[in-house]
Amino acid sequence: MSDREDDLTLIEFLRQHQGVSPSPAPDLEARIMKSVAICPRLSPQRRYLWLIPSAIAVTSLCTWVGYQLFIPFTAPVQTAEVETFWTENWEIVFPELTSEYMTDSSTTLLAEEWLYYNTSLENGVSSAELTTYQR
Amino acid sequence: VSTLSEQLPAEDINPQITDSYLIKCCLQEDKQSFSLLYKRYQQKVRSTLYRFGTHANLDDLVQEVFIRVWKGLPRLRQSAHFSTWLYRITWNVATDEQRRWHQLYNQRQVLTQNLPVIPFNSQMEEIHYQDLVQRSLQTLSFDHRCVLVLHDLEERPQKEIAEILGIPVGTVKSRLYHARSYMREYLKQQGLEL
Repeated sequence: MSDREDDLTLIEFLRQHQGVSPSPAPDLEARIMKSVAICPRLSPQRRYLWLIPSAIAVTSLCTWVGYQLFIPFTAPVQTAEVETFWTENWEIVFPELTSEYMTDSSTTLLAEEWLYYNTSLENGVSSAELTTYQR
Repeated sequence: VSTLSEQLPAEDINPQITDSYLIKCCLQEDKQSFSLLYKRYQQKVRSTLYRFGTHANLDDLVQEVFIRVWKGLPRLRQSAHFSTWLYRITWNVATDEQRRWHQLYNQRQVLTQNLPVIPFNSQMEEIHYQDLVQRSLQTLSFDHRCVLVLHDLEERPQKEIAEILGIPVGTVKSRLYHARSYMREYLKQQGLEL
């Protein structure tokens, strides 16, 4: 006998012998209607309360996804802008250094110089001293 | 909407009056319409609760179901799905009852298992089979029992059962398969080969 036939035989047996639930008490309907008469009903407005946590969840998800998408697209742009900014300003502050180091790897060198210059300033070394020291 | 109580006596359950219409009247505090809804569905609720295994205080549980229905009607989103919603409430009430009486339930099962097998004649055959079906359902886990009862006895489609129980359709199929296997095995152990 196939599984399908087995199932049908079992279902048939269960349905045939499932029995009948006992009869209700004669006053059951009256009891229910009496309870219903004094029973406060739920407010229909509360059916929309589920929207609040859902909205919070969706907003959080959108924020997170937006943040994840935002970083990889903007970071290279910002880096390029900063590099350009450094290069342009470096030419104004140290024209002789700029002409000397203006090679393909100038960006890295300029950045190192700039960092060194900033450290010197923080340590109280004036621009004149720095120029002398560098020469 | 004019109230149904003006149109027909409470005993007259006209099948042409839709659930949606009755619900609409109930929402306008028409108790007579609710009485008709009760008459239309009380037997189904009662037998479902009974098959779920809640034999004690059945009247109280039926009452609990219909009170929850009355309370929750304003929140019923689609009145066309009233039947599914009613099954879900019935299942919730049965689940609550199951949790409440779980300990007592186990004790009862032990007692039932220890009962001696009573010999029967042909006149008692039907009673014996009914008892066998009830006992096999009782020993089945509540989750599997609900799926089996709703699908094989109440003849609800799997998709609706998934909605009623709040589980995926795949889980319904899996539970149904295991429930049937268990039932077959149990009946076999009782000397009944199907």
